[in-house]
Amino acid sequence: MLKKSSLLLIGLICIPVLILVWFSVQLEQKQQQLVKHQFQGLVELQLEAADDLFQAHFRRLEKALKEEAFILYEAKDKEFSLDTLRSIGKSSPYIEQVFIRDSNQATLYPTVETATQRERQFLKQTEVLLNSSNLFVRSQEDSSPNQAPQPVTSRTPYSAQLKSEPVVRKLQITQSNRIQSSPQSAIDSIVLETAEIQSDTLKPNNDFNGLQSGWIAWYNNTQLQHIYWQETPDSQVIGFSMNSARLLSDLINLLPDQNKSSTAPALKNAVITLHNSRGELSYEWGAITYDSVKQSKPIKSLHLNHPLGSWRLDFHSTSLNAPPSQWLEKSAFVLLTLLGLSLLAWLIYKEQTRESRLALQRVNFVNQVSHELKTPLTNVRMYAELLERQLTDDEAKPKRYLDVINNESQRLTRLIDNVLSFSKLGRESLEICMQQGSLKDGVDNTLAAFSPALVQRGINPILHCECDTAVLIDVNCLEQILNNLLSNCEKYAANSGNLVVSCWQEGDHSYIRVQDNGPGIPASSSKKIFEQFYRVSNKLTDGVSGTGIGLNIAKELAVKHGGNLELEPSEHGASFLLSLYTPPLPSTTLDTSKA
Amino acid sequence: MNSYRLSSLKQLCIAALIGITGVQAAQAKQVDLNVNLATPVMEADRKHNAFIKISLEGIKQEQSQTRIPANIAIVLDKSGSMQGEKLYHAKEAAIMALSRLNTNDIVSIVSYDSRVSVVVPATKVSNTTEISRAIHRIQANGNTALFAGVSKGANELRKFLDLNKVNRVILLSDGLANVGPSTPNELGKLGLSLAKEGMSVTTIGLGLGYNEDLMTQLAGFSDGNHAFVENAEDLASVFQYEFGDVLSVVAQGVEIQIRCKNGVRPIRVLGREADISDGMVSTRMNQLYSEQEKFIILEVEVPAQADTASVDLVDVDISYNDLFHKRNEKLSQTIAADFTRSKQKVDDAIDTKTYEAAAEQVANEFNRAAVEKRDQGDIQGAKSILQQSADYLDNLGQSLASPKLIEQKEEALQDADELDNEQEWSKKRKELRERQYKRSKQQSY
Repeated sequence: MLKKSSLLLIGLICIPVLILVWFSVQLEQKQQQLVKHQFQGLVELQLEAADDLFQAHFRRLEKALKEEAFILYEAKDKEFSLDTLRSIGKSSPYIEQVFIRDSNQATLYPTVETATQRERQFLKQTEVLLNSSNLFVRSQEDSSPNQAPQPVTSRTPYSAQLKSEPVVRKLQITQSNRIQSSPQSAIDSIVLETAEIQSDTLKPNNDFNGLQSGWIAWYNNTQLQHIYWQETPDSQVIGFSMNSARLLSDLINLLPDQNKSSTAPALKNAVITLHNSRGELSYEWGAITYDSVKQSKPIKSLHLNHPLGSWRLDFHSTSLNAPPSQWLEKSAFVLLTLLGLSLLAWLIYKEQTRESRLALQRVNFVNQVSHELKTPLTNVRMYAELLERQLTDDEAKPKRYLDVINNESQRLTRLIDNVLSFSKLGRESLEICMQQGSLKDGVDNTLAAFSPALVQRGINPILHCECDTAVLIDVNCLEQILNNLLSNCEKYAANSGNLVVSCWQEGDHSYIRVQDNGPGIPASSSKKIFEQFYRVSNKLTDGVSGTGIGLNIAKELAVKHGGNLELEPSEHGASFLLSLYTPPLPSTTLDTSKA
Repeated sequence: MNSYRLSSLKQLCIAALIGITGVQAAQAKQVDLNVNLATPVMEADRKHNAFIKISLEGIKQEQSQTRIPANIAIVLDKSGSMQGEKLYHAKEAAIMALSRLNTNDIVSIVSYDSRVSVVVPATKVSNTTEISRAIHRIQANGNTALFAGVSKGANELRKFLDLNKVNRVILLSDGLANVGPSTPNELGKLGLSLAKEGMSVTTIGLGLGYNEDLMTQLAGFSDGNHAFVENAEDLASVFQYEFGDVLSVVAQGVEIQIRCKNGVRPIRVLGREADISDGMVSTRMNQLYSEQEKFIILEVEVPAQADTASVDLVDVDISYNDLFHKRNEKLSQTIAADFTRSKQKVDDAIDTKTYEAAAEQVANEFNRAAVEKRDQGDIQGAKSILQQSADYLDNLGQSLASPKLIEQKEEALQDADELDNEQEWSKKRKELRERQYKRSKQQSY
């Protein structure tokens, strides 16, 4: 009983706590997902910001180179001066080599005849590149609208255009030129891709407006090289080959150093890496080192825009640097609930044990009292019987008094027996003692004991007995069951005429049916009457004293005895069917069966 | 305060002088130009290969003029391999060197491992303790992002970049660049770009782990210094020398144009990069130091001339940025050779000093070739090149009676001996590269 209740209490604590935990986990996961999503967005923004920096750098370069080209173009007097062209390569930190091509795709500068060693080297490296025909030509569909310069550029101020620049700029990548003409050249240098930038946002003040220009990214001995080219009004092309190391150096300088990045909250536990076209690490910044996260996949990868097309930025992080997760608060809340519930459960448990202890004490007390009552009662009965024997037949009055004393003391005995059986059943200490006996004897005895009282109450007991054979049976138990049934008849079925008690045997079981003609028991209560302390409540039972344990004890005893006690449906009165397990006597060995 | 007053007084005087004497205020030149022929008199009627030495020297300033302010970025390697002694000495050396700077100078400290941090952004050297403290905080860890380190260092210089200052990146590294570009070629390109901007790069290789080709290429384009420091204890003195050099710069952006005349054909410039085309040779030196001679050796082919002819061989034009007067200066000189049939006259006229300098550069070229051969694994080939060098030096040393050349012959023979030693090769190669670099750039330390 206590075990059960403590289990119940544990369940009472655990179920709400588990539900709470489940909800917290769900909530947390959702939050994490949300945060992760936001975080991914932030990461993307960061990477894009870096790309924007690069793009801005290329635009600045583009502007400077355009101006350089314009100055060159303005200064030329029919032909470009060799010294001017050379001085650019010599003095500019950004430009490695300048080249000029005419409208027939022929290289005007540098030429093999006049080239210095460095120029010769440049010619050799770019031989294949410069020989590919459509390198500096805009693709077909693009060329027609550009014949007429768009007036848009002059109307909007330059600064405003820079801001709205991504819309205005059209970036188009034409098919990469795969050079099939010379097989050995493919090893030296491979043209990656060419892209023309319709640069109508730039330089409204020079007359390169509407002319083509663009970046070419190509590989020179696996090193990415950039060339910027600008078409001149007389259909020549001025090209600038950039110093690749300087370009990278400038890009690196646009990125934050460790002091700045390690304190940035967005880069906590994270590192951003810049990888070149060969996938090699070019630069890293952040609070952790790339080495420590090299093995894991980047959280986000961003491929840079042209002309750094084959480059990428990776974002690595050891943990999703979510804002401090609320696990702590949530678990504290769950823990508090758990504690509160446990405390409550403990209090309830304590109260319950106290009560059950009290109840137990009370039961013990009743037991004790019942036992104590038994001895004087026995004496009363014994002396009453002795007295009855000494009475002569003509002393009718005292005899009647003695009968009453006898009956009442029997009733009291039964009551005490019931109480004792009840407490024994409760403690599971009642044992059935199977002995050789006859069912008939038990039934006869009980009926004999009850007959006077029954007759007095206007009930006429009739016995149909069909079981005379001796079987193994606990007669006391049988008598106690019958006592209860008959005392019920006596109490509730007064003046009802015949009370039929019939008994018979079938195989190992004996059956006794007790049927009265009293008011009967409503079907709705047919189950409940066997429960402890249940009493059918109606006019009949009101005013009749009873403990409410009689039928319960009878049923329990019957079950103990391997049988059952049921209320049978009947038209008049109540009909109880008692079945008992009564194995026949083993004919040979009587002694062993007794044991 | 005092010196300030003095200098302002002097300026007043100069202004007054200019006022009186007009525009032709004669001012002391900062740079001396000397063009010499190893063989000023040549045999007539046949072709010759002749060495021309064009030497430039910063003149010592008589008056105690305020020195040229410096803009220095110290780029320190703090990769894992620098841990302990090395980093300690590097930090101490840098801090000690700082004490030579004053409030007119600008310094920045950049350290790098896998990542780069600007420890001290470009700042005037007014509070050395603050800077020292920042340097002390540097801790070793990680890889070697050399390229990015130099980039950021250069970027710090750029904040106060001034062609009238000495703009220098001093790089200290003990390992191979393994984050970002790592080939000598790429670093060379960066060095070239920085040189064009007016910065020079000095590279100090510490220990035996660095790539000497990368370090010399990086320094080479800007005429920076290069040093191989095997023991970290020696860093202090190297830094002192380096700062001494930086603080004695008198001229920058030296452009040298050599125009060959009368059929003279340029063959090669020894030891330095130069553009040769159409009988024009052009090269540059990033800076000239006070009292240090820097030169280039040009080898030319002189066509046969008649007896007793005197022929102009080359015109030399140089222009440089005079840092004291903050203006561009030009110098020019023409060198002529005499021709005779008399062997005696030819021998008598030999300019021993010039010839020695030329021979040293020739031997240096042999030495480079030998290292390249050794790199290809051809030890015998390398040895025979050094033997050739020794023979050349011996021959010339005998005929010029030059103990210097004989000494260098011994050196070449010793180098040849040590080529075999596999274990010591890494160190030997660094020594050779350092020596080659120093000889070709006439480095002072």
